[in-house]
Amino acid sequence: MVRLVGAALTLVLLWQGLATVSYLSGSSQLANIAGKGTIYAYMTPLFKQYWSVFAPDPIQVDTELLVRAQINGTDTEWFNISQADVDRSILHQPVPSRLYLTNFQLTSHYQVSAGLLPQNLQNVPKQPFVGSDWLERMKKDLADTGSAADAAAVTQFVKDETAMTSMVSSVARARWGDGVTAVQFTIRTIPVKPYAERNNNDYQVTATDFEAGWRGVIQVPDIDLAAIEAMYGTKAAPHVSN
Amino acid sequence: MSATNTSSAPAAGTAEAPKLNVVGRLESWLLDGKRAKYGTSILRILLGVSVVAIVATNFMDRKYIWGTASGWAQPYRNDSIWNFWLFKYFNAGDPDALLLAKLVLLAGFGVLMVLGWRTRIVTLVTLLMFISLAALGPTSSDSADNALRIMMIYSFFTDGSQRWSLDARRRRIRSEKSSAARRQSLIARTAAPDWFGIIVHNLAVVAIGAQVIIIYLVAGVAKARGTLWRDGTAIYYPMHAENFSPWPQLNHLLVANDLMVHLISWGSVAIQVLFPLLLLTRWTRRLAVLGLIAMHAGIGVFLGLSVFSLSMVAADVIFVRDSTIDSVGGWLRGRRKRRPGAVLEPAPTGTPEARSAERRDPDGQDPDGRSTAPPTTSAAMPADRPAESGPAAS
Repeated sequence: MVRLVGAALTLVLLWQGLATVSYLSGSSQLANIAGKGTIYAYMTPLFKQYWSVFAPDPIQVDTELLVRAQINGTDTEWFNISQADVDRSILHQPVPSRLYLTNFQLTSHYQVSAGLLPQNLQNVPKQPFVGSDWLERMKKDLADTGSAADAAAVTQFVKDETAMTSMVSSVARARWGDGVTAVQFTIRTIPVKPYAERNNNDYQVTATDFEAGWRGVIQVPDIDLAAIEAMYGTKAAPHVSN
Repeated sequence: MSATNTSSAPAAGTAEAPKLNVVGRLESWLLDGKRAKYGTSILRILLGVSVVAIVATNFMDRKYIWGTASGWAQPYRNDSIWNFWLFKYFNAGDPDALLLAKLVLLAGFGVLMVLGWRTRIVTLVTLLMFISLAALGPTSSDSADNALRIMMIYSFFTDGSQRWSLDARRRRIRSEKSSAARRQSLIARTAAPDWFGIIVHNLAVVAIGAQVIIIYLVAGVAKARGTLWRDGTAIYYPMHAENFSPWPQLNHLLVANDLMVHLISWGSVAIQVLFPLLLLTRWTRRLAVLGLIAMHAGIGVFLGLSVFSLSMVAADVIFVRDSTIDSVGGWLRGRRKRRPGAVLEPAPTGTPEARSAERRDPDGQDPDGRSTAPPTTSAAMPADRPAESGPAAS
């Protein structure tokens, strides 16, 4: 009896090990070794995992998210959300909070999904879409898709665009008030000085900007603007950048 | 239930023990008693500390990450893989006071894990609460949560209360108060036989060890493919990235030296790729575990990835043998006794120390399963040899 139970439980353990290795192998052949999608279904969500952090090469850039708004037809200055996050949650914090991670991953998702849009739609995120029906018009402009993969890329982008514009709209309203009629964000990528140039004081890194077009404001239902103002308001975070 | 019974091997520790074949040794490792008692207890403690740290460090930003100011994340929440009733302890619509209360309760469960109170059920409840919290912040979760979640799942299957826990204390007190007959009756009344608990515990220890090996292999091999890791300059870059620099001056100081940059970069890849091989002998195993703990301490301090580092250190400790920790404990106790003014007389009859000594069983364990044998003895026992190749060996 003891041996039987021991053997059965050992088999369960072997399956767990096999599933984990297959899931992480990066090979579709291995990942489907137990039938198409079986291992993925078993591993997700409880054993979902990803360990290639800093691989194959580590992060070599700083990514910054900046936002500005239109109030009564006037543009505000740019506000550097990422700099505020670094100051609030990372700098001199032995155990940093997840604040920076929260906005950094949102920004990364947006960058990735914008980059995965079909070639003929790559310019759409840079176009202005303002007014109350801006998202519907953007969806129409993105509707011309060919394959199922393109359609999936568009769906993912619309989700990321909605979340991103919801976030920057909330920050803008908290920082500049309810008179905000449109928002715009920029994703700035600043490379770390290359290792070979580390001692060259004259070497200047060149930042690149991805400037999204103006967007209509998304009013997130019941969102606590006072809490956001406490983090990103002009008193809490007087950072200006451009 | 032991391998002594199932494979006709003599009792552990006897000089004439015949050599077991591979199956016999595996069987002995699996059935002869719970392995990694310290390792699983340290795992439980550090996982609890991680949960408390997550609540504490994000407390000020809770509204934006999980609470009333996080509604912008709803598009992600709508099609989350965690949309299941079991993971709904935290809710997007919770008012701040309720979120606050739930976070305090989660931290409280983290503290109970550290203390080892009703360990198994507390681990399960903490796990479900933590998953629910992580799911609420779709862009606030990363590999640190994966490591913590997976290690908590495995930890649930171990008996992580065997050392430094209120459960162990309660068992000891109950054992002291009850007669031998009553103890037998208590054992008979337990839901599952002892051998079942031992098998589940030991297989969970193997699962933790295997998961750790897989993590390091995957991470190491992935890095080995990168040009910057290969040319030995990789670590310079995150050390100069703002989001990985809680202490920028410290980071810049560390990577100002070329030799240091190359040593850390190549060393990180080498220790991860070679980890399974380093486990094969005692001294390389110790070197590997110490190296990985040092690496994660560095990641925690310099790159600010503290919770991830803590979860990984918790898992690394599973490779440290109980006898090694006993030896370190014995060495520390010896140093304390040698201090001027230390009392060297044996404990008088009736003191807890004396009672504990009286209660030692022939295997050198007290009723809590704590080893009371001299630390060097267990390391020399032939029956412990199979453990050397298992996860609980260092």
